[in-house]
Amino acid sequence: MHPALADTIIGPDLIIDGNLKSDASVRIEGRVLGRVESKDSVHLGLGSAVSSDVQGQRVVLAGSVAGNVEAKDRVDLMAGAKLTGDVRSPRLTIADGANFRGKVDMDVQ
Amino acid sequence: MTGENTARMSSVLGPSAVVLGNVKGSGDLEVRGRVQGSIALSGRVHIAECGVVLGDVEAVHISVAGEIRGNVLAQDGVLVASSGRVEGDIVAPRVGIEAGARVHGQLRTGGEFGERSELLQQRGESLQHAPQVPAFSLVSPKNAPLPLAATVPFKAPSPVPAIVQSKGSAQSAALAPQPSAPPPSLAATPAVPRGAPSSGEHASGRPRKRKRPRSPFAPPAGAIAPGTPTAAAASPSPSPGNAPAAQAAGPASPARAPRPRPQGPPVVPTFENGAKPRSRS
Repeated sequence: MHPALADTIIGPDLIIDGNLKSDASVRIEGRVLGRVESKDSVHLGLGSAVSSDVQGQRVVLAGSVAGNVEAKDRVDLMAGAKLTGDVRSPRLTIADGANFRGKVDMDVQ
Repeated sequence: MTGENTARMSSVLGPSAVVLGNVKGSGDLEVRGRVQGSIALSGRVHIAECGVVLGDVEAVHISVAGEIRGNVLAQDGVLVASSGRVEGDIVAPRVGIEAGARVHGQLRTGGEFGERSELLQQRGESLQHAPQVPAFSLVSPKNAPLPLAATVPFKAPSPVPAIVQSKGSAQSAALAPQPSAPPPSLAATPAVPRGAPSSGEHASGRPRKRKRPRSPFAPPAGAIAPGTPTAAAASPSPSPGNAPAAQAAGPASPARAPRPRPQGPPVVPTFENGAKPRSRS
């Protein structure tokens, strides 16, 4: 499959009033008023906002999330990220400038 | 196509993506996955061949190569490709359905301005360009030929100069000698209903036409000075009427010509047109 076909991109001007679920990688620059679920990586760009839980193989967060973040591989909180919720992932990095308030559970199989 | 679209599209829902809810906002969107909800965008929406939307789709332009089970409302146009399927109404100024496409529902194109405007108002948008332009364009040509064909001498002066004032003066000057010289041809149309063509020339045809042409004509005889461009343009025209005066005005006009020239370029062609009737007359 063409890599472009596998990607889901939510542009900065787009608002999804509901849940987003995908088997492929997801990149969100806009807003999702619901859950984001992917079996691949989830990128939340600068200025993005998700108002509920985020699940993925790998979650890279530079926007704001008000919910729990769960990743099977790792979670990266980049500078500018704002996370209000718990993180459940075997690996976690928090960059300088990231805003995080919640619990961390790294005891994942 | 797909490469260009992906580059241009600001948003893409991949083939494995499923949205349970509504999608809204601005920008373009390409749906290759599944949307169980409505889409309302101020941009272009493309439903790819593998894309499915279970809900209404509203956007500026909508192209459907996949499936939409819901109403489709576009402010610009809707294109249903041969692989496309729409189970619902389609409302748009322009709708294209390719051979092979499956469409079940009502189809409304062109009109329905009120309905569309209501839907647009709900979104807080105003669409004025698409529906109104064709409406006026249809009205104007209907009215335009009527005054030109039926009542040229009566209504021509009012609409024509508004649009083509500078050129109108030149044309009127060029046309002016014609009514004076060949009045029967032009005078026949208005004069015929009121009387015989021969008598009409004397009775009703001439005075009315002279009144209008006189306005450009009269000034050269008495008051050329006030209307510089028209006077200069008209001065050569009366030449057929008054040969000596025209000769006097002829040399005078080039002296006055430099004044109108800076005002408008149309003066130059008037001399060319004016010069030709002289030679003819």
